[in-house]
Amino acid sequence: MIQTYLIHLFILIGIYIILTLSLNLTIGYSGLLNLGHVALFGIGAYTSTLLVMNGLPFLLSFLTAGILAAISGALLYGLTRKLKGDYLALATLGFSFVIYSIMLNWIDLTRGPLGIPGIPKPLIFGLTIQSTGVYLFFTFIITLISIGILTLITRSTFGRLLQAARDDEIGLRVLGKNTYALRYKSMAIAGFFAGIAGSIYAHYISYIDPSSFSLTNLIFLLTAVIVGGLASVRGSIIAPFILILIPEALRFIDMPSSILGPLRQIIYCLILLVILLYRPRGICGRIDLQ
Amino acid sequence: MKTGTKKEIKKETKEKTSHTKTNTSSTKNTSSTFHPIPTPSPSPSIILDIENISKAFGGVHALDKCTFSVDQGSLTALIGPNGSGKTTMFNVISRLIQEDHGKIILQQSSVDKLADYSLARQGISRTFQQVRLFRNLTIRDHLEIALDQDDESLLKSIKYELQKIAHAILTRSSSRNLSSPNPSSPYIAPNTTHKKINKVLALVGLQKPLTTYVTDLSYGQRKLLDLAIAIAKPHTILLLDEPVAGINPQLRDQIKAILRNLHQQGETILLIEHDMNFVMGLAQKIYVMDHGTVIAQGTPLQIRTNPQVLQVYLGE
Repeated sequence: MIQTYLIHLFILIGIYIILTLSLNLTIGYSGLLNLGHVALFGIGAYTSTLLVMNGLPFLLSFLTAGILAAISGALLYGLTRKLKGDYLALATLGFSFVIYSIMLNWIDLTRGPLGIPGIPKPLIFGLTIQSTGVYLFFTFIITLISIGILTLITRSTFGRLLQAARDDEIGLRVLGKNTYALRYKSMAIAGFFAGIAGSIYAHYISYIDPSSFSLTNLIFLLTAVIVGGLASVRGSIIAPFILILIPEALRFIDMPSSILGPLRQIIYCLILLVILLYRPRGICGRIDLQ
Repeated sequence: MKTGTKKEIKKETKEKTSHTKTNTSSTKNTSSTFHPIPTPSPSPSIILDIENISKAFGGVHALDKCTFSVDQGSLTALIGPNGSGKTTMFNVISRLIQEDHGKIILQQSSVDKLADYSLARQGISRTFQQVRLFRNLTIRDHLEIALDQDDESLLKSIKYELQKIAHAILTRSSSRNLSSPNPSSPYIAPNTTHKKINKVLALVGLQKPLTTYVTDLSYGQRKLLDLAIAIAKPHTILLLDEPVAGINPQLRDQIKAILRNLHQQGETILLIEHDMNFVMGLAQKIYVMDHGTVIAQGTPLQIRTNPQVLQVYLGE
């Protein structure tokens, strides 16, 4: 019993590592205060679910989910590329609300607030991933590949250019670098990984509704990025462990559920406050939160 | 009426000249019945030609029909009092600001439609009055970014990173075997880049470890790094915006020597400077700006004795 519970937690941690790391690519490395990430997560989850439920193989749906979220990410940047700081944050938050509204109101496609139940487990090369143990292995592999690719990107000359654009966009443009193109790519990459995380999430939980991709989830992701530290791959791996495991400890305390929920939020808030007060760069961050 | 006609002829001639120079398809006033007076093509030694540039910010005319040119291999200075439009001119040249009227011709080609980064790739390298460095990057990072004009490709970038990892692994296994590094390693260490970095740092006299972050540099050292970046970036002309502003006399002399050295090596330099004395001992040709337009031009000696310039600077 405890084993299944732990496996469940580690699967969630894997999914949130991919999400946090990809969000950090846009916020921490590219300097784009992107609040539309949760919408890209949702696009991935719904795309994969709808495609699989309409007969497409899982792997194809999984990749399409990533590609569609990547296109959405690039499109989002295309629409907001002239905006900076707070304005960009508001515009991308608006994008999250628009996608949320579409999920909620396009009843024929998404079943609206009722959500989509009975999402099948992934079928890969004729084998269905039924057990949570195997699903954990699958999530682990995808998480490992995602960490590898995103680490390579952030360490590469491309990643260095993203950081330079974050520090001084004009300074980089006069060196002959197209900062728009760099950031398009960055948003697309982040979108791709958010999309595949959405796919893993949907096929694991086997039920999705718009509330899974709401503001609450976005706040959790932002907290993870800040706690881990901006522009830090290591921090983005550590933060989901902290933010998922610490509040889970509350389950073992005999307390009514009406108190447990708000207490969990209080713990997130406390973690964030402590980090901002005593370690403003996050656990492993290299750059200041501006 | 007659005077008016003469003016029209002049205007037509001017526009036609600019058309010939730029090879652009400007169609302004082509319906005029006056035939243009044939004019010789611009001197091939002119590398940057600024023609009648105007720029207004609301009611303020920052640039007003500003015209000047920079010869290849020359060290030209743009001087003038505060608010005369020098930095705005630099921003227009490097396409950070769009002009309202006029033309900019770089190496016989109009650059009007180019984006700032495209123009930089065409060969304009510049510095800013307030240094613009990347606060979370090292000296090496800055110079590698400036030197490498092909680092925006994501796939190439990842491939290069993988080669680096493979090289590191192969080198480690080779050193364990006590033999020389594996020659079949796919990764080619960028020795040429490293050499170029060392060369440019030696040129500007910045003696700091390459792994130093710019936040750990003094203001003067940042100025030197800024200059080193502009030199390292492939270019045909260097635009330097007040390279010695706010630095001590010793470093000032050092920068003066660097600029003289660069000029002797054939570099084309256009610099903005407040300080007349700094410019006088350095520039071959000086343009003096006031109220957004060029009011005087000439050699340092001519400028020093120009009554209009003295009036602008001394208010006499």
